[in-house]
Amino acid sequence: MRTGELGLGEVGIEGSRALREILERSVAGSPVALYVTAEPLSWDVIRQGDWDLLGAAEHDGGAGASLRDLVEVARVWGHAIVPSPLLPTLMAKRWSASARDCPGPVTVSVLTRSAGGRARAAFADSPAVQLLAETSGAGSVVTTEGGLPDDYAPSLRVAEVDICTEWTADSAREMRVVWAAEATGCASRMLDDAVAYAKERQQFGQPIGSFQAIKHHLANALILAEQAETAAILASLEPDQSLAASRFAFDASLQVIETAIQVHGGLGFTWEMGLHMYLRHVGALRELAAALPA
Amino acid sequence: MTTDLEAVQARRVGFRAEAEQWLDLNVPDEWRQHRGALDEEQETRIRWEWDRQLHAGGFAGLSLPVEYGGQGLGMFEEVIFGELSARAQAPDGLGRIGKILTAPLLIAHGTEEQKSAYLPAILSGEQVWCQGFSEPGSGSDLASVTCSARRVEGGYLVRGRKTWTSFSRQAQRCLLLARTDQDAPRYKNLSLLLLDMQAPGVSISPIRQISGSQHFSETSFDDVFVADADRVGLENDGWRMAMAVLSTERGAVEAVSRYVEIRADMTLLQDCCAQQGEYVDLLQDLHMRVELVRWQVHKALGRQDDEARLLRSASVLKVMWSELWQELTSVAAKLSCNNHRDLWRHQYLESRAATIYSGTSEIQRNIIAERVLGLPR
Repeated sequence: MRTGELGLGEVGIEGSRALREILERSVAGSPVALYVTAEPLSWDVIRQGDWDLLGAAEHDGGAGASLRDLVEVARVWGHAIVPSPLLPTLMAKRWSASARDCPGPVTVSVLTRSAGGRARAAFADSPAVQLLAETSGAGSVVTTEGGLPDDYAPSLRVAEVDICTEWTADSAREMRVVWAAEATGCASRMLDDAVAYAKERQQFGQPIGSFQAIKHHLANALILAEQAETAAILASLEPDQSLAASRFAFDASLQVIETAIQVHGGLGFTWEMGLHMYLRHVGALRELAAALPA
Repeated sequence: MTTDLEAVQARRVGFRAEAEQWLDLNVPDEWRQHRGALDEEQETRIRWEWDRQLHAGGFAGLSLPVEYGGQGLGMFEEVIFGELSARAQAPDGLGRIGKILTAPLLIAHGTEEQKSAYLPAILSGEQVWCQGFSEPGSGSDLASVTCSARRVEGGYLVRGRKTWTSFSRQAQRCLLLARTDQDAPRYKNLSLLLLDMQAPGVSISPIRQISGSQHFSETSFDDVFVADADRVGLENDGWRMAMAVLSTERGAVEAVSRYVEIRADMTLLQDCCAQQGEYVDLLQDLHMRVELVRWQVHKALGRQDDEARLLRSASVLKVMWSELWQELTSVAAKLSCNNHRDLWRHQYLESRAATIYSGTSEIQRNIIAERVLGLPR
């Protein structure tokens, strides 16, 4: 029973468990380097399960997940980095009635420095994805024509848009926490993969995981992954420390992924192995989060 | 399930309030305010008295079963009490080894005679224990201990040396790991004994650390008699008993007490010494990691049902707080103002030991790699 583990509720436990199954089914056996440019999980599947309403209040027809619950959900999402706008959509539908009226996905945009002061949004390259114009009040939703996606993170398809979402202090904080939690899920997945690889890969007649140099790399990665998860949870529960804790979670998650690449040796820096997809994903998330109003 | 949870929450809130009030009334002023001015004898008296106060107040053995004189509560209460005690600047009792190591071991593996002979005195604070595991030649490789227990009629004669013994000068008893078979293979040649520290043949010499403080001693045993009745478990089954002892060394309680001390160092550093405006990022990172120690403890508490997760939490916590404290004191030694130079110099030197005692950082990483991540030995 994990209820009560730092305020985690039933929605977080059950939601993340069910989502994990859906994600595992959708990408089963397919390498990440291939599926990030495909559509392994269709929007229909998400819509049928009401996954986009997970974060909306119960009186708004949602599942009423708390921000702490959403940390768990975002972590599961980070395990697979399936290219789908679920996380921004469930946040948009958490805040805005207009977004809830849209059956399709809704994304959010931020003003990033790297785009020369232009607004950017994940998955905005697709005409099926609408944009949330403001996160408070009725929260109108607009159709916007996104530019070509930045190819840095294929799993996020960040593209320029004409309109920047208007954020409140609360909505910016919540979005930052969910992105940070997603990053920590990426880190946990990369740690699992690196541990599995170290048990299998043989050099000098034994698994490389039997060497203390590798063991200590992976032990450090576990400590960082644990700290990153704890920081994401803290960020969801303590608004005052949320910004600093989210930043910590991003940085620690990237370090875990860097270690995973090192442990994978030569395979670690091949395109096909796909570890770089997680590095790119977390790097791009960190940029988006950094562009949210503090 | 919701009502169970609510009942547990209500009980915890009640416990916290009760403990806070009790600590406020009972922590001696001379300890809280004049600790630096106390001589060793005064310090020992206050710490010993503290164990008795804990017992009288109903706070001794919080997580031990009621039938053995404990309070029948859980690790959550132990952690809360550890945190509140540190905040209230309560003394560290002398009964720690007895309560944390000996008592759970005897409850799990002791005879009825051992339980009734030792548990009441441990919990009341009358009897202080020390731990005789490490030796000058046997540090991280604990199974290599050479201190021998030679069979004689009715028991053993113990001969050898133990080191890093805390509380040795106050202790009546020692939880001792000794070699009872010179020929048997590793792990099958040790026994766990309950040695009388007042018996003839025991001698103690203090060890001075690099900071100047003396927290530990080296203890020599020159044919000290231990009766058969004072062996825990079977002869030559001491390795298993020692592992049982070490698995009850409760990382979460230790970590949360450390959190309070490190938090105090961090606050002083931020509020006084680090006012130059430089090192902002570094200080923010340290600040966040200090808070993460406490949150990590509370995250670990939700996971007690799972042994791998419990192990993970103990080793992860030890590396987290010990290395963090060292980094903090290094930064503080560099940024110190004139008023706090002596303090930071002392803390800097004192913190060097933190990544070595209670399992070195290297051993902790091996534990994480092999027992948590399952990497091959």
